[in-house]
Amino acid sequence: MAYLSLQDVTYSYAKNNMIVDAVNFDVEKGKFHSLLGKSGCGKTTLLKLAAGLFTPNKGCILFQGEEIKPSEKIGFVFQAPTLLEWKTVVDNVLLPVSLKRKVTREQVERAESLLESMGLTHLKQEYPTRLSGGQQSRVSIARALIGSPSLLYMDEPFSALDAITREELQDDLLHLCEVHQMTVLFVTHDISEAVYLSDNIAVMDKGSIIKHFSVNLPDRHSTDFRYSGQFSQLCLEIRTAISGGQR
Amino acid sequence: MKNVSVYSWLLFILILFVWEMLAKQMSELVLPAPSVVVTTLIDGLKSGYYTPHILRTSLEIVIGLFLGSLLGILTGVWMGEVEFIRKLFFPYVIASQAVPKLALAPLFILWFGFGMTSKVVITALICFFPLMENTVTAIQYTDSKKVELFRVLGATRWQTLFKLKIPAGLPSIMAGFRVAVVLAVVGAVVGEFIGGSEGLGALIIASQGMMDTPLMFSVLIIITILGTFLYQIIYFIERRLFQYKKH
Repeated sequence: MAYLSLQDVTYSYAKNNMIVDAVNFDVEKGKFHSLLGKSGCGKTTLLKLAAGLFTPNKGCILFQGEEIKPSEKIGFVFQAPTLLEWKTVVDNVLLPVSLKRKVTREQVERAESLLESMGLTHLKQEYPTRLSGGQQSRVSIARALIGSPSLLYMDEPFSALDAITREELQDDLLHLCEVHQMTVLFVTHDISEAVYLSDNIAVMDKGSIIKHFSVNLPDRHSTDFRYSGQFSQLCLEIRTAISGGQR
Repeated sequence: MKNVSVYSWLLFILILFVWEMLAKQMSELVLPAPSVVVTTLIDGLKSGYYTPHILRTSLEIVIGLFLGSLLGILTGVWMGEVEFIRKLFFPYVIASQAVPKLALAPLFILWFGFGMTSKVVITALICFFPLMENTVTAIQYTDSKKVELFRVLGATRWQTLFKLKIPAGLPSIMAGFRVAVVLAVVGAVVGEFIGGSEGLGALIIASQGMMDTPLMFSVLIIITILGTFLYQIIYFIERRLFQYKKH
């Protein structure tokens, strides 16, 4: 049984306008999966369906064999950091916990250690408006990780960042996934980002998954890998798939 | 820009000077000189002549402001949160906006008598609208991304209201409160114009009857100081409340 399984998932806002069209997709435990496609191909909608934020018109989404619903096992990172500007950084990280019960000393310590692992310790008592874009993204990732989720959904979390900050955050993310043994479903329109981060890539077009790719290359997750021939070759293959076989 | 406040003071002195010069050309009945007004003001304050009037008007403002704002915020939250209520009330809200509230003052005197109640009701009514409107807008248009975040986190409707919508809308609600404070002074004074023997508004009418223009001016100054003082309190509260906005 797949860890997360999307079965015949269909979603539309209005008739004749399929956003997501009968998608079947399995997410393996402990793997990094990406949904890749052009803007408007339905990848964000599929992600939100997979996270239980939308209810599909048809089909179902099973997480460990049960219908998906918001829980602490699930973390979600949005495209924008979406921090509460009236709360300090550490309180933002603790938000998911504080909505469930009174925050304990251990949870505060966990939040602080998450912030430390992202190099934000010195900013924990600051308000989000005083942080840079990259720092805000890091806080939003820490917030998604506070409940120790086993499944993390990410919706183009780095798309608004400059190239160097993005690379740093990608490395941080991979490190965190390794440490916390997380399964990730990641949405992006950036081919090289998908190749660098993922074990599996699903290419989407017009609401359907048109092709799957596995990234089985040695020596991954190093800066050299980004500039290797194999990396470029895979990017090119995916690029060709996206544009429907035409270069 | 540092010198602006100096210029501002210089302008004030210039206005006083021109006023004094002009007043010398005219009868005290038409335009009393600032020196005469200040003397009247200080004498009145020393003898305690103004004290009951100041207390009375302040009390009306505070009670009216409190009741009007409380009702305004509660109604605003209710209308912002429940679409049915919003659609049900909105035509009446718009219609009641077109009614000049101060023109209702004689009616309230008729209904609630010459005592304090009628003035409090007028003040409360006039404070109600800016707060209700700002609150409805703030609650209704909470950042949809943040609402989505709360949904992912499995927050209840009450949690979304109290931990997201109200804190996020607070700057807008406070802006409504700032408008209400200024209007409250107008409401109480106009109420006293129409009926009543105590209060700063009544004192203005009395000074008109006695043809005591310096007294009228001194009361106007007291009202201005009272209004400014209330406004400063709100400003101070806002500064404390919205520390997170400071960069």
